[in-house]
Amino acid sequence: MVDPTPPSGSAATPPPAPPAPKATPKAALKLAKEPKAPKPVKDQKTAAPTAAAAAGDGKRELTPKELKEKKKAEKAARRAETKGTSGAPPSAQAGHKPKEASAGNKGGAKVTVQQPATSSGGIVKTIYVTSGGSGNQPVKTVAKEVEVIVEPAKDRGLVGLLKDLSVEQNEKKKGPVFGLGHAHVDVHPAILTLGMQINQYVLSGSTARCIGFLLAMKRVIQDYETPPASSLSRHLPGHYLSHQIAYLLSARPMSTAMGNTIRWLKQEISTLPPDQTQEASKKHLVERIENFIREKLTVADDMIVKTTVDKYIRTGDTILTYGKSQVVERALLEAHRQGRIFSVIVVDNRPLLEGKNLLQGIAEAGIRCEYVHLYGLEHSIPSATRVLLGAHAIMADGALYSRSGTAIVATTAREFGIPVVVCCESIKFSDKINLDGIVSNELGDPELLVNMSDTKAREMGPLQGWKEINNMRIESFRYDVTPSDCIKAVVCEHGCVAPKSVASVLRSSMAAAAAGSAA
Amino acid sequence: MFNVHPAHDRRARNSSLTHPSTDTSPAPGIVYSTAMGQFDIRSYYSRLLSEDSTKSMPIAAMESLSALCDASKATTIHELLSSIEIGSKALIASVPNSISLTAGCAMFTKFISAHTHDDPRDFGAFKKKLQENGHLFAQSAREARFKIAALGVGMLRDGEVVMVHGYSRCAVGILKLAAQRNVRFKVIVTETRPSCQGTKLAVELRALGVPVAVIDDNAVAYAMKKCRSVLIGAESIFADASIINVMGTHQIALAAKKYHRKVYVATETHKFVDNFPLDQFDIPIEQDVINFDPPAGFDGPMPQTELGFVDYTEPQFIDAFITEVGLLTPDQVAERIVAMRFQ
Repeated sequence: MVDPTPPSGSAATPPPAPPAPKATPKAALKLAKEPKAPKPVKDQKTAAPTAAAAAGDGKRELTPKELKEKKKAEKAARRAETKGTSGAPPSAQAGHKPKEASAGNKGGAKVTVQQPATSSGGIVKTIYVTSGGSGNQPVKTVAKEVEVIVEPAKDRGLVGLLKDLSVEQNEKKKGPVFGLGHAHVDVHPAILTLGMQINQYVLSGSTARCIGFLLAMKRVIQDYETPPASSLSRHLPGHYLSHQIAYLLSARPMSTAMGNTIRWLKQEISTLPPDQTQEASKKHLVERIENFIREKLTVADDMIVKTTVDKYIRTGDTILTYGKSQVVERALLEAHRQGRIFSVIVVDNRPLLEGKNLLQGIAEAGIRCEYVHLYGLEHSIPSATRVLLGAHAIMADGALYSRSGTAIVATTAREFGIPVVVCCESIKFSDKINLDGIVSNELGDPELLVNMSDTKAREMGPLQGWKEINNMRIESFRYDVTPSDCIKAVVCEHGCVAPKSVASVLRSSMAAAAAGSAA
Repeated sequence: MFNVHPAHDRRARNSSLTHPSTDTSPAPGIVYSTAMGQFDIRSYYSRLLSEDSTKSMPIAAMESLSALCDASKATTIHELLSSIEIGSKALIASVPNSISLTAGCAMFTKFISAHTHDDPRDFGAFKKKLQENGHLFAQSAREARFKIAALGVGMLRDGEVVMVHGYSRCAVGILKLAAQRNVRFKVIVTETRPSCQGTKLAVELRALGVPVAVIDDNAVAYAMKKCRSVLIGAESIFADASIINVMGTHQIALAAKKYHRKVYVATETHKFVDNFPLDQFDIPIEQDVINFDPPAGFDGPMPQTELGFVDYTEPQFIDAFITEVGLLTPDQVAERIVAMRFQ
């Protein structure tokens, strides 16, 4: 289970109610302490609401608004810390904006920067922070040593969008540090397990993660107890679920399918009749989740496989596919089982080489197949009659968001006039639009590109030691965006649609679902 | 690469496809019969088509089905629905090119089933209402063509030169209405071999005083720069707004795209089909176009039946659809067809 006292205050969000003073996290300490402390005038600008409230009523507990204010300040401090520029550590006074903390230590935080000691990862600045002391705040002195890794040359060398992505990945999404020790006390063991599986890529496919999430949520809801003086439909999504989701987010950025699922689940909870007993509500939710898995994932996959096999895999075809998509694999195997005679070209790419996995499955089944790497695509593609692809998501404008390299395959297929068919459950249809492939992409481990071995053993190629070279970066994007005009058809459980009709499917199926639930 | 689709082998074997009206021998499944009576839906359908040359296949199908409802002695809704189903299947099986016919049947069935919930107790009243509605439905589908003409005529202005391929009743309706309104436009008509629909159109338009130039089908790309827009019809429209139409449409669309000429498709919405072929060789029609092993005595291209060969044009070559519900972009058409699934 979770360590009740997280080692660093940076990851722990303050518990909803101020705990007893024995709690060690800094945030909690401040919560207990702050109302008593008379604020200096300088501070009023930044922490005005808190200070004013504190002045008004010394002993009053913090209102939700004040709590929010405080959280915001803490977040800013955290961000500043990860950025490594201003160096405001989490132990700085919550009321201070990070800028103030670094610019001048009038507010009471003393920042000393000891100059650089190099290490393999970059320059490590050791920052000693003393809070309290000089200000007129009678605060217990907290001294903390924070190590901030700064990568000056590499960070500045990043061009426009890449920098955005780096900021997005490293600061917003990865903000909460992943790890059992950083999880909130309320995070359910099932979610803890799931988070670990997702983080370690045991569950890596979009659908697999989604099913895992729903199964875990089933257990979470079964074990859930509404606290006294609160209702399930208010407490569960607002307080309880958000901790679970925040933990999963720290494991890996959210997939579209999971985002849609969470939205659906919250909707389900919010429409529960308020007079229903807790047990009945829980039972209802569990049933709905089971239905959802069946309807949107299991049966949807079956439908997609059936449609694909019936319509798009025929005797004499040569199917080209990229990487490994589970639903594509199932469709190929099913078509083979039905006696269609066709061949498959598996296009694969480093570093994950998922195609090998697919190749093994279909070759063992007896399908004639050919294996090429992405650089051999132009050589192999003229003999293909269809391109079958899996998807991570399909954006509202019909663009396909899938494993990186898909765009190359799809655009090449278009050049050769070969129809590209994408198999995608409608749960993966996004209501967002990506203008480029960089923003909201996920950065993989660059070490995967350094390791030149195709087997499990590590074999460092010429890129070994790249981290020591300041003017060099390795980027390993997980996804890319394929424009909709490269795609001929999207097979979803509602049948085949043009990629641009994805938004209309989304709208119609939501309207149909709304009508169904109303009836 | 010579990737001949396997379907061609099949087509080669049964290349003697004939139109129902020319084939008089009754085949199994053609005549719908119950213990209560007989109704030859296939001959009714062929008679409708041969009596009125302006009638399109989906409308004839819908009228045949409503006639079937009239003749049917069904006593329950379920019985009626199943007889409609048997009737549509018999009809679809009886013609080689059944796409637009399928659309008509599907539309009629959907229309009937949408009304089954009205009042299930009083079957007599229900059946009467259905018949009335069914005929009304077929009637409104017939009237669509006039609406299309009225909407599409605005596209033709003085000085317009429009290229037309094939003889589409919707497209011809627009051209004739424009001629009646004394719009000074010219038409380049392709001959559209081997049916020579173009020549027929040229004769009709010249009678109305429209300057018409008939060109060879081979001269499409040559003449493309001399026209300002292309007007074609469609036999069916699929779920991504791709169309099938008389052979040669695709090459006109390609040439028009190259020279940035607008391509308009005039069609009724009852030709929308919820089907999704990927390319020419994936359309649900058996036609023997490319044959490497022709029967002895064939030196020229493969002979076409009365229906003629069709080809497939992708939505990116089409600028707009002129329909009775308004001018639709390909994306809007696709959206409408997809929305039909959720109704």
